[in-house]
Amino acid sequence: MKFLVLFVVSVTAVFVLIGNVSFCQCVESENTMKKVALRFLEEVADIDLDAYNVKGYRSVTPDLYVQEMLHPGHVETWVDMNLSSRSGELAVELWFMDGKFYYFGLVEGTPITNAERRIGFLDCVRTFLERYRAQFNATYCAQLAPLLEQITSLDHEQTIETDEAVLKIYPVDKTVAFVWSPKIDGIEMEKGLSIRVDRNGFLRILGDWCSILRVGSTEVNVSREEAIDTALNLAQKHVDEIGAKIGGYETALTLCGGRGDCFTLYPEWSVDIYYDKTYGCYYGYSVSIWADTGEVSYASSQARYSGETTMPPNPWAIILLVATLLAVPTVLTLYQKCKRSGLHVRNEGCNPGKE
Amino acid sequence: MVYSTFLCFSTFVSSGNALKSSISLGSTYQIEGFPDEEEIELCSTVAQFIATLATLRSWDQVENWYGAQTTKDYIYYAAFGGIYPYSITWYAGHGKWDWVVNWKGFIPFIELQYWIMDDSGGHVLDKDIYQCTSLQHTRFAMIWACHQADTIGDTHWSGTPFGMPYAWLHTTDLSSDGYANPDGNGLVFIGWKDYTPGLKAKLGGKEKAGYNFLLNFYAHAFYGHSINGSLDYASKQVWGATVTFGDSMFYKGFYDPEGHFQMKVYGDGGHTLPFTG
Repeated sequence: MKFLVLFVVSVTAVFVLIGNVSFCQCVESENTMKKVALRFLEEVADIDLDAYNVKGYRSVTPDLYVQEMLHPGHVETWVDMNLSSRSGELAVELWFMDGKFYYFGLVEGTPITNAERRIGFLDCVRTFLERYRAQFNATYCAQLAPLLEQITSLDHEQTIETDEAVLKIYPVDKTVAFVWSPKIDGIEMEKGLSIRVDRNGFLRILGDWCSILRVGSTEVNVSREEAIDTALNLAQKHVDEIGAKIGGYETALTLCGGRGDCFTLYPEWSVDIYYDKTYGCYYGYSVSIWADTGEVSYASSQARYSGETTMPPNPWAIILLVATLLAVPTVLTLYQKCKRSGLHVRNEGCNPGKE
Repeated sequence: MVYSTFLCFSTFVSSGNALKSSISLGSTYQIEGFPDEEEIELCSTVAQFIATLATLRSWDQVENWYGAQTTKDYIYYAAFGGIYPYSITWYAGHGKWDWVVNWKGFIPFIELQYWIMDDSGGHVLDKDIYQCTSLQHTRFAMIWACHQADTIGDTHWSGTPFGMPYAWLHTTDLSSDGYANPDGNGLVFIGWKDYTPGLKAKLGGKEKAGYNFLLNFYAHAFYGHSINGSLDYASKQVWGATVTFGDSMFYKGFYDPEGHFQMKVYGDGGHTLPFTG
């Protein structure tokens, strides 16, 4: 009996310890994320934390089911912070994947910054990138910086493409977004590093998918022509079914996720076939093919919802409406006739010969 | 007539301290072969995803009526919200408008009424949904069907209400751009002006853009983020970190060869679904 009690106690103790260990890890991870968040705000976004009180801090890690649906095998955490100062409030959000920072967004407010801004707008962008590189060991930021030299205008969209990367510049309202996608062995990654800076010089968004993505392969064993052939063959059945006519197609080769681990990238051909017009609900057919294996990853007709069954007005309704419209002048005519032929209208209605 | 149908539901509405209700609806009825098997599969997954999220967050009534259970009566029930003072609804399927005869006394009026489809292809009209929402239990409705957000709605000459936002939320006092200018009233309607893309469609270079948008949107919204914050999150996950919902093709609108698409947010985009945890 004593042995049994001892056994139960020891098993319980082990479970409690394991539980504590896991709890500790969770708290540790929470604390780490909070520290990273504060470090980002101060050291990268240049927010003067001494001027603020942390009014609210919330970290949410969705249930496992949600994680598996959105990015199987990975755990995302959302951190929301509210900071208050005498000059106003600030709401920021930071996202972490597997405990690793990958996104910062200024949701609300204008931040009080550490340094007075005497430098130009592009210098601000360079400074943010340099700080981020230094603080988060994001060495690839060094590749982006030289591309900024080639920007001709911050008031128009521009694409700068080199053998190593593509940089797209989008002016949006009072901000400018810089979307940088590196090329690995000449193939562009579907996502990269993006930064959006307010024209007043403060950081609005920094999203770094490079920190969580890794390249699985850059081997291309399927040519563009083979990809187009495969796509056209796949689309043919649908084209025949609906009697469509192909109007044209576009192809692209990018490094994409979605095979095995969602954050591991492989080269993928995408072929978008457009019909010459919309056939019922369908307007095209898209196919994606892994360029290393030749396997089709996506083949789908492109369609929209519609509601083309709208009934014309009910014939009875038209008859009723017409009858009503005809009835009004008829009643008026009768009334006039009634009046003209010596009949008089009193309160009680049309009473013949009362006067 | 519509109210009488609620009595039928009393058998499966449990009593207690029920507060929140989440109902997923959707019609699999095909027009010209759409939604096809693949689209139905994606819609069904979204419906189940929303239901599971609500269950995980301990919502009091959680229903996934996508498919055969999306009958007229169940749509009316969703609009009514049952005994739950806070109810949200998601619907996917075809939608448009009909010319309908509305009577004012003995005078008939032929007026435009919007509809969504039940699973057998029947039209469920805005004016009938409106009859079920007087208690305003529905606080958030997202209707993934064509023309549902063409207008907020109003009242016809005949005195008949029209417009899906008006029908589901029982008010026309809604911000016409609840994303950019939330009205703070705690009621939100999201729908599509003109056409609606299939969930499987490749949009802005992203496969299954609608499907991924919805999964990310609802995941974020059920964990204490505002509707606007969740729209932004979904947009950034689908199209990239700097693409807020306001910059997205959904908000700005886009065209296919013969149609226009635009997602509209009416009411209070600043509203947050109840969250504890």
